[in-house]
Amino acid sequence: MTIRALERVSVGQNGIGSFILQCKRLDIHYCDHSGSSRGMNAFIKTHLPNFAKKNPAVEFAVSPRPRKHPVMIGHYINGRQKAICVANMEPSLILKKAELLRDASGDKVKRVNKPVTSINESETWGKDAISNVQSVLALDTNEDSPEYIVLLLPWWND
Amino acid sequence: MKRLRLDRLASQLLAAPISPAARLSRPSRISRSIPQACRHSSLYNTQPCQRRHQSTAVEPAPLEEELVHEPQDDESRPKPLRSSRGLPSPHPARAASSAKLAALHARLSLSSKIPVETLARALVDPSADAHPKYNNANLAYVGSTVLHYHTSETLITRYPRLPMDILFAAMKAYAGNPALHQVARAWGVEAAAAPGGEVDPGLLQFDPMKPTVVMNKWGYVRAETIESQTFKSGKGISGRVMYGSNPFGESSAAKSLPDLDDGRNSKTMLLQNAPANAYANFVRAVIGAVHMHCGRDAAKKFVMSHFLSRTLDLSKMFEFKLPTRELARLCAREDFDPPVARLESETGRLSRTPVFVVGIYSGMDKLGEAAGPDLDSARIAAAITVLKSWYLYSPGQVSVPSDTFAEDAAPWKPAYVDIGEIIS
Amino acid sequence: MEARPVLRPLTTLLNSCSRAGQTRLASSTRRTKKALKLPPHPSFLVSGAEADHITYNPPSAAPSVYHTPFKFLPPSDPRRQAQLSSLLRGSTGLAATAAVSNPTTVPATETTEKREVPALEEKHQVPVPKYNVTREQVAEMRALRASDPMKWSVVRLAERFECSKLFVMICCKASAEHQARERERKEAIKARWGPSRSLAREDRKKRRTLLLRGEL
Repeated sequence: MTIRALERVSVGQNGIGSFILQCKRLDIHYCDHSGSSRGMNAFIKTHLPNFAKKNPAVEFAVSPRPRKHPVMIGHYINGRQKAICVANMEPSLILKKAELLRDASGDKVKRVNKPVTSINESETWGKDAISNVQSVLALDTNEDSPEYIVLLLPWWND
Repeated sequence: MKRLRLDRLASQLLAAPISPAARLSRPSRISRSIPQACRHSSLYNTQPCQRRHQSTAVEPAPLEEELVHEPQDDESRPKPLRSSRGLPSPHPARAASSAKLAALHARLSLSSKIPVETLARALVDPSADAHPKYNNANLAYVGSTVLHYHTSETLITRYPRLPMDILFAAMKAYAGNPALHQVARAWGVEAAAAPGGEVDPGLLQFDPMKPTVVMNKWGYVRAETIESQTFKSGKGISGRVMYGSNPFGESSAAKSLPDLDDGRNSKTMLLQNAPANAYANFVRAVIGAVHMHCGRDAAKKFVMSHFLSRTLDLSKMFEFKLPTRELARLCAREDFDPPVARLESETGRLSRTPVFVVGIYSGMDKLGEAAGPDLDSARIAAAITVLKSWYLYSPGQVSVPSDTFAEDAAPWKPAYVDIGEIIS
Repeated sequence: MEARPVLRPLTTLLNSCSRAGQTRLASSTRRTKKALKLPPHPSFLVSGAEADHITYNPPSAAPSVYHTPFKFLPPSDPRRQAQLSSLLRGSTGLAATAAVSNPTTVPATETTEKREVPALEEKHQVPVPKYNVTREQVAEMRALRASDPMKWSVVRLAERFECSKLFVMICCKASAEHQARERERKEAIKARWGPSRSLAREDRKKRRTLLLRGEL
């Protein structure tokens, strides 16, 4: 038995093979009396049943929150939450916010400035060797090795 | 390979208590519980920061009630109208009104043929409810068989030269407990703080301190396995193939894991990672449910899309001991010219960081090359590259044996599979 | 290394002298950029006659282990037939097979086609086994080794019987006390190592395990 296996676990990527909607619960809070909840109350009466029927993968929990602004909180599979205060909003706008919460991944908002993000390894040949050489050269600037210093800093030339 | 008559074995699973009304009506997911909503949500909330109210905490039931089941339990499960506190797991009739369960059903895009009651049963671990008609042990057994079958046939036909050790490890990477645990987490399954009859049926219920079922056993344990354990033999790969009692070539009995059969529960017999086992059993039970209710093809599709579509770099799983000797034996076995290592190019031989590129030739054919900081390690690295390119040969997308199950399938053409280990 | 502090005033002196003689160094950005300018790779040079074509010039990359070499393809594999015909069509004979045959390789350039297996230096030549030691000689070898393992070391025996050291080690096994003595001698040598050398040895071991795992 000259080969031994190194244990690894396969990596899943959502959307490859199967897709799981990341929003698992949507908490909807309203107030019966406050004016800021007027749009929310209308949204619950008119839009919500239809919206819930269209999104069976999301669990909706509607509960009152007296004397507070209406709020929608999305709970995500990664354990994070996203809350949107919908005070004084029109029902159609609240519907847009609900769609936003449904479509969000739950991740923190990140700046994406690379065209491609990949879990595959880069294929460049000898990258380790080259980076090694560079790091060694950088290290050697502090040491007493004249040939490298000559390469990097022409100290005589000032 | 053993032929398993799953339909015959598992027909009782379809006869699980399901009310016909619940099967037809889709449950509503809007749980509008007016002022008690906060209390309701705190019941299934697993966030540690949130404090549990006194009234919703699970009362620790007496141990005897949970473990001992009278045979008359089968017929007369107490009605949900009566206090459900005495039950070890939620009553099946409550599944239809659980918003979490319906959401999970929809999130997995399960067919409407799978009732939510079955999904609720899949969420009950044997450690929560020891009664085999109300826990997921049987479903998980069916599911694990289906999962292991498809994983192994895919791996063997796609990588016909994998050494046995790597094959076992790859099986484990796709279908072992850690992978299934990750899948269950990615499906958004939450665990209840403690199992009981009053918790939401949409939560995974298990008890880390109670005996459970470990699902990686085959149906029976060979007599030689027990014998080999007493003599501490069977450590080689052929011993693992012969006596390993689970699909990953491990002997599960050696770890003395707890089993349902002997309900003893001492500290030494506790599972290493009970949550992972419970989550994995749920995933297997879902596969079993798909197989039982939607059939073979749907189960295969489910396994392919959720498990075999995951990424695993097999080339990073190898650890060699004698790569150069192994390569020489390989070339002798396959009637190739003996391999020779040649220096292709080099740079900085006298510097601190030289790079040598060594290629390995067999006759006039180049088999592979690799770079290294000295001649010897470059040669070893090149031998490893060549061996990996031998082991990781893939004929591409070829048909698997289960393709022939279809009605109008072409007759089976034997797949190319290598003869075995080079140095065993 | 020690010469630098001594040499430094000397070099500055030399520099100042040469500055008087107006020696210019390639130190400006423009000159450096100009010096680093390389002509484009031939695959990018398009002659006007060619209409649509594909430029194939991938970045230099480590060969993937998932690209099975031609020799390792089983006879049933369709790629074998396809590559065999392309090899016969586009080559000048056997030498072309020396190029790594992977499915993405476009017909190789002139230089790789003419390449032979690199030659080996004289000192690296693997000795061909001669099979010259007879059964009686093996018995004699064993007797000699058993009689005085210090005098009849493996190297000595290999010289005497004109075989390899490996063959001697296959034939003979030293006595337990000799092995213990040798081990003690090595331990004594290791005990004399200072911290740098023992650390270097440990690092070497670690690098070896990493290499065998393919993580180096």
